[in-house]
Amino acid sequence: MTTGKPLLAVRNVKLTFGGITAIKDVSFEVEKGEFFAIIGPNGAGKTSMLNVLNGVYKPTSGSVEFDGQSLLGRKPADIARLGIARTFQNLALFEEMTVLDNVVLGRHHFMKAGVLSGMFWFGRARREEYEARRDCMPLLELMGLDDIRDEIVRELPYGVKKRIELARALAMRPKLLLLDEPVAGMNGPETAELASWVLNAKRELDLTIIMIEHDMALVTKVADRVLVLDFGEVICCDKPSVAVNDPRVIRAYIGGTDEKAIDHATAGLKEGSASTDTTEKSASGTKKEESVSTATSEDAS
Amino acid sequence: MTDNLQILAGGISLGCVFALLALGFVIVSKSTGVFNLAQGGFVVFGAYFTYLFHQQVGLPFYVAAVISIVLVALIAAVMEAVAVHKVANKNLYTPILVTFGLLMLMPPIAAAFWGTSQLTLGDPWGLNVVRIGEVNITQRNIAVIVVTLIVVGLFGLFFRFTRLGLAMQATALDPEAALAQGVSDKLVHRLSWAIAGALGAFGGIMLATAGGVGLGPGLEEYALLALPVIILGGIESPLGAVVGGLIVGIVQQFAVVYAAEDFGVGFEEVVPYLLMIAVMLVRPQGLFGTRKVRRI
Amino acid sequence: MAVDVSPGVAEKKNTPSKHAAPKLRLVNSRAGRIGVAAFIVFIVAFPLNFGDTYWLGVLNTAGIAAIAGIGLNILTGYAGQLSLGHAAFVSIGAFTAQYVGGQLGMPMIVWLPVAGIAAAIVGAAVAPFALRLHGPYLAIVSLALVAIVIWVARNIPSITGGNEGTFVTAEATLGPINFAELTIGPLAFVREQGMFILIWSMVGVFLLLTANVMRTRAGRAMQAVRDHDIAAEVLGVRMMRTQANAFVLSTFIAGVAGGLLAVNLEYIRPDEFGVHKSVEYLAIIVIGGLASLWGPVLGALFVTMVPVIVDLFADSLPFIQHGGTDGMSTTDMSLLLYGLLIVIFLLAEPKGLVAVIRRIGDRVRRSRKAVAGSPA
Repeated sequence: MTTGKPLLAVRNVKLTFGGITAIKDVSFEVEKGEFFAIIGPNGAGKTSMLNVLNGVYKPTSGSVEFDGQSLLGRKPADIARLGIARTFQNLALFEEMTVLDNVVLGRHHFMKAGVLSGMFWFGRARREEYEARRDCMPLLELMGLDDIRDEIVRELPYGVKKRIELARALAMRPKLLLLDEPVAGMNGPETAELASWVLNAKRELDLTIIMIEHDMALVTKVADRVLVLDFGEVICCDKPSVAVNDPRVIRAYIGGTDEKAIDHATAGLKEGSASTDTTEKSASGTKKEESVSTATSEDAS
Repeated sequence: MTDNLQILAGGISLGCVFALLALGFVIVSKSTGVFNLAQGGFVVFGAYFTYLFHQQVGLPFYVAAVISIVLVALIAAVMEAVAVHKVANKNLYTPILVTFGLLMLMPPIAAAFWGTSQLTLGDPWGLNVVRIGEVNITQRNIAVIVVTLIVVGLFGLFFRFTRLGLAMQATALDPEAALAQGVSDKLVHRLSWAIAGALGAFGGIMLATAGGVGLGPGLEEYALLALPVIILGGIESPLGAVVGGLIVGIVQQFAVVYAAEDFGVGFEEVVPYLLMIAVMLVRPQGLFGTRKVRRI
Repeated sequence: MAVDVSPGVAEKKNTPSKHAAPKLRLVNSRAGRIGVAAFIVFIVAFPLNFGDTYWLGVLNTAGIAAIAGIGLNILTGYAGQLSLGHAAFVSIGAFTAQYVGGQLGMPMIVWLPVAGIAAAIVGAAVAPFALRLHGPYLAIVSLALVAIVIWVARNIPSITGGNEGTFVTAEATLGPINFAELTIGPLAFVREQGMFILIWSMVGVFLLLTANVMRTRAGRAMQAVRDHDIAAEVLGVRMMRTQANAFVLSTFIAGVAGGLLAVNLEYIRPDEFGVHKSVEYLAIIVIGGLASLWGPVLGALFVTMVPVIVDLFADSLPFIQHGGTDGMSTTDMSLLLYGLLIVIFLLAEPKGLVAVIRRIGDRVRRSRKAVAGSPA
């Protein structure tokens, strides 16, 4: 699997808000083609980590290198252009737009037409719009969205919205896909369904994936390696079957305050290595992950 | 030199009124997240209600002023409940647009009852001049400054030491945690609007008394000069509101005296806005504001 | 679940595409195409056969307000940025039009675009710092701009006529056609008739341009930033550039509306473009329907009727001034109604008249279907 340089290298990343430390000191590497999971109790800094990776947050110190280029100081839009796509924990769709328009937005940075050529439906704008839709149609089919492409997103059910978000991320033709709790709030069959969409897309599109997830059964089923975070620190980074048996990991979950996470951890321990079924109960994570409530900081320039 | 001190005193007095109006904006913004343009309407209502009770009904000035302030506070709270609460968290522009609509409909209501001619609220504080060293200060200006100091002090105490005051800050930081402590966001939102209404009415009364800008159409536009104040001070900073108010008041008074001819007609009316834009270029978050890290 | 998609769908990757890429027609229903054709015929045929200059004048005012509204709708409706200073850009357009068309004597083909460009340049200069911070900053800066533009306009009397304003001598001519003194063969038409054709053709042009922008990359990005700015950024949308695009486009259209306003009114004063004018434009887009193409047109027709109706019933309405008595002027009454309508619509029907009409249409269609379906 290894081809010398890793696709993503995170070294000694630290992130603080005002006086509160969200990520203490995290280092890890992700190889090309890998399915990499990040788990940990609520408030462990998982989502903050993703936000650092795609430039929404600026780390206080440390380095992030992707495909041989440093990501530090780059804006989210620029990082997107380098080939990192993501989905959000609490859906971030463009609710007033159609399914197709949402997915076509994933093609945004491959297109060049500006306001003027768009205004007159002329030349490049026209060509690009057709190309973008042609490129997105197979994706809509892959995700089973082709029948509802002209519907406004707002009214659609949750599970479908999750898939739209995935399709939109895939439309970016990312080298690296970040998934933030893709099955949060889903029941067993829905989880299995979404997992199959993800695995299918990974195979079809030759993706590298980093996924945050609470559902240990899902993690053990799909992930090649798993990084366990607790209080902003790495406590383990290994194969899922090894990680779930690591005493430090168990302690992190049992010692945590989040009961659901403990349930899931133990559920994963029981089922993870033996069965490939997903847990019956829905994953937690509908709650906001961040426990830090103050939002001011002086350091942004 | 004494001339300048004289202007300075006038500027501080005017700045105090701006500071009060700006405090109204800041309180609502801080505890409800809504940017409340209706504040300008409270100014108008406060002034005209006082005119009603003082000049038309014949109550003593101070009684009339207190009744007006309470009335406007009530009206503000009702507005929040009826029109604003529902859309407070909707998106960025809806709540601002609602309060803008409210702002627009209040002055015509005043015009409907009191007409469009210039009225006078009387001269409750006297225009007699007090000499302090070389400087002549009108009693009105002293009254305005003293009253502002008292009000600002009271608010400081309220927010720092009372349960409700602390709760109002808490809802702004973390609505869920505040709710968990048994403080309803409805109460906090209404209260903050009532306070803003009271401050606006209070500012309006002071603007409308003799020696101020007078009571007539366009009073709300004067009130909108508090907008540059809060940009200058920082949109959620009470300290910024006070300091910003003083700066704008002083700069404007000097502009009235010195710059009027060189910079064209009506320069004193735009000088606060020009100052604001200059500040936004250099320090967009304002003097005492902090930049927000947006969390998702 | 409303949409039933089995997981098996994911497996059919090799089957040929069931759906071809969708056609990108602007108007994709027969009824829609008939509507567009009817609109075009109406613009020319209606004024030539309708001689009431008063009502044509009202419709002309509405048309100009509709254009300004289309501009504001791009910024506020589609891009989600609130400007309280749209009147300032309209006024820049108006005075520029008179300067270029009247004082410099250029033809309309020059002064009308230049009016838009002048407003857009000011818009482009203001955009970067108004948009720098998330929050109410654009609202405040735009409000400040109203005051500043009026102050500037008062102090450059050589262009604007100062406080007293200026007559507009720019001519509404396009090649041999003079819209102010339209003649077709032996027929001579009054000013309002010609101006109607000019103004409402421009409404049509800007509707078309807006529709095109909103279905292509730049406009899609504007709506994405409005709905979820962080998600848009993560997809590679540059926020600043997108919002600046919306701002410049919006102010350009405002400038053109200002130019038309100038020739239509024939007399403009700096004070006419105060906050009350901005309220009118905001009322137009809120009442008509934010982020809907036809919303500004509906809203403009509605809002322009308000003062007309207030005038009509001035004698029987309470609180209105009657020859020297205290009370509200027509302007005050209109302001009150605009403010009230903005609040009511935002609370009760944030999608405006467009949504109301659509709902009525749906109900009629359904009841008709029900009637047709029931055995007679």
